[in-house]
Amino acid sequence: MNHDTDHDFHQFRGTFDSAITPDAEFKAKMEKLLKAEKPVVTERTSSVLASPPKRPSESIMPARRSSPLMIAAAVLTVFAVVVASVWVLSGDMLEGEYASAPSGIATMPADAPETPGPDVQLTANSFHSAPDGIYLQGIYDGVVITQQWREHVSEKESEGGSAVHSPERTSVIVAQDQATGEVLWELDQLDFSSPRVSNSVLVATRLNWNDLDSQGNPKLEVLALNLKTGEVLWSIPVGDVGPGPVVQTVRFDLEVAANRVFIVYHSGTVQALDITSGEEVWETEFDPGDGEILQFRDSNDQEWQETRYNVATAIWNDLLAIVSGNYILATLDIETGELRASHNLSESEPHDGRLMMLEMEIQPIPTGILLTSLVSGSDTPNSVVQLVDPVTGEVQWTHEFEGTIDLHVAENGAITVNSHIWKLNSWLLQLFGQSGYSTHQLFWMDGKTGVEILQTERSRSDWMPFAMTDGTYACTRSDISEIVCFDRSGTRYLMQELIPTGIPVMVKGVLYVPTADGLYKVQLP
Amino acid sequence: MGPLSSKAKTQKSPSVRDDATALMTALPRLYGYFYPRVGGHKPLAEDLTQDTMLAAVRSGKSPTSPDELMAWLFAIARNKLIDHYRKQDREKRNLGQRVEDDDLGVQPGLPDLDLESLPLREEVTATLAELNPRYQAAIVLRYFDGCDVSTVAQALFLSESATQSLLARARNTFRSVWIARNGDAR
Repeated sequence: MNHDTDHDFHQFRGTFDSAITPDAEFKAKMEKLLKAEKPVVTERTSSVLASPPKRPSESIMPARRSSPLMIAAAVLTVFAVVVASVWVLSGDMLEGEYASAPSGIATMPADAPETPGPDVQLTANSFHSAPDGIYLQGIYDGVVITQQWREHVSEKESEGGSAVHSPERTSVIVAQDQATGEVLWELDQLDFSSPRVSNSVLVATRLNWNDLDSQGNPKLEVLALNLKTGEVLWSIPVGDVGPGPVVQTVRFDLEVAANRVFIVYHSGTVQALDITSGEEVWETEFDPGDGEILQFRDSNDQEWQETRYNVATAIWNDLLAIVSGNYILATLDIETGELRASHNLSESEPHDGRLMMLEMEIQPIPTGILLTSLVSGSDTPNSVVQLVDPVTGEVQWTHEFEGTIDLHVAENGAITVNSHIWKLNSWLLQLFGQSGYSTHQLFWMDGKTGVEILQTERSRSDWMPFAMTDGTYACTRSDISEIVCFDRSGTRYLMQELIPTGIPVMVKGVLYVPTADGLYKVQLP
Repeated sequence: MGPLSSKAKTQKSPSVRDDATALMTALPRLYGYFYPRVGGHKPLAEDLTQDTMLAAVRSGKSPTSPDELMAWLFAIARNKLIDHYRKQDREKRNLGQRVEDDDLGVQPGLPDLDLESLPLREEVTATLAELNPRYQAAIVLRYFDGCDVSTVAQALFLSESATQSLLARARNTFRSVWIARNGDAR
């Protein structure tokens, strides 16, 4: 049956936001809680060496001399008061070490210079208004690519022959000039992911529900567009259906470099295409490692198994680097597909037997590729980042972070690491269903040397955190409606006017921030 | 060039609690946000609503307008919801339970639904409740809340391609459960 990939789901947007009156009992409970709750005061000073917020001093109940019965009664009373008071006690006492609102205070390295000046407030300017929602795909060669949704009323014929008007939302890809905001082109009803750009050609993957295979499955395609005009240059289906009926089981990475597109199938095949024509230039094989065997069963009770591999890829200079889940690094020449180097990186493993898995992305910087692995830590998984030379296989530096991480790299090799840890609440709060909360911490590092430039305190994340750098500034989200940026001296720049609805993009000192009503530009000095 | 418009000083933000009436006015909308998104599970919706409002008060912020207050509360709410899905998914994994459903083959699309009708909205909610936490999270974030794929990916700690794959499976499973509950109306 032909149907768009998710048009039948877009009807849900905006229809589950109605107010619902809760039970009177819950309302009364909330009124009581809100009256008793008090805010935590945030102190901001100019010192970037400020220590973490201290816990308020705890009051000590005086000991009483009395009979054993009185003592028992007192203990029971204290216990009852503590349990009953769990909702009204300050969050400082019950919710972990950093209970204050996120401060965004930078903790500089020990040899930091004297404290810089006061905070600098930033202002936002509208780049593009989009009241129905906007998603920032990226900024490439001076072109801003966004995905937007347009509502329109479609006319259909009902069974009785009369016209029925129904609202629909369709996806539109929009390309705008970064300097002027001028719309260069738009493409309707297009939804793609993982865009890459090289030679002014934008390459991306998409599920094409208008082109189904013999089993009624949508074809997975790689699509190439002229970045400046939006002209579709070519599209090709990728992968085979495999043993099961769902084409989405095909896994691959897409890379571009110079005049080439590389489709790296996780099962161990690399296909190199000419970026302007889509014609195959070469194909070769690599060892994807051991993989994990998964069992599937369809609605007809037919069973089959599929092997899932863990493969990560990156382009580094004129080489395509492929790392398998077994830590085998294969480096291919992008022009010929020739194997230039192969190394077993597990021999350089610094994990002391704690290795859990390789993360699915590797990131190139000018001096090598950044490899992230998950290792077991004392309470949570930790993340180990290594800078590896793709030609020699030599590990240049290693750094371990608590928790899982998001890594972002700048063109000059500076990196930001956003470390996430889930913190458990005390047992009292857990009794009431508040098991824990997310926290994050920003690290800004010189990618070449692995030396830390700056870090923030670990803060609670009641919002979606992100972090990025352009080499001159490092930015992170310190509150729902607050973005904080630091320069290398530790001076803090604050944007408090926007509520980001997606991940911003930073290009040469300018932040592009998607919000509910469009895309904004924030210029850093 | 950003002006040096503020000097460092000790800031004492007025508490949102000072406008408790505004917060209580927001209660039905917050509860109404959570209720369908947790499959109509009333205690869970209440817990998440409570967490959101307490987080708002503790932050010490004071939005300047009702619209800003609601936008801010919904931003907290969404992240509470994401934490909830992550926790459920993690618990399921820790118990060794299967976290993705078996492959169901391609299912027909959903009919156009009159979602003004409360019973139909309740039916969508009940269908969502039958999905595993990851599928619930993917469907809610992408189609109820309109988040982009990248945001969904980051919320679920997945790559974008894995998220696209997850969304396709989630949609397929939702359609299958819907048909099982309501028949194929096409």
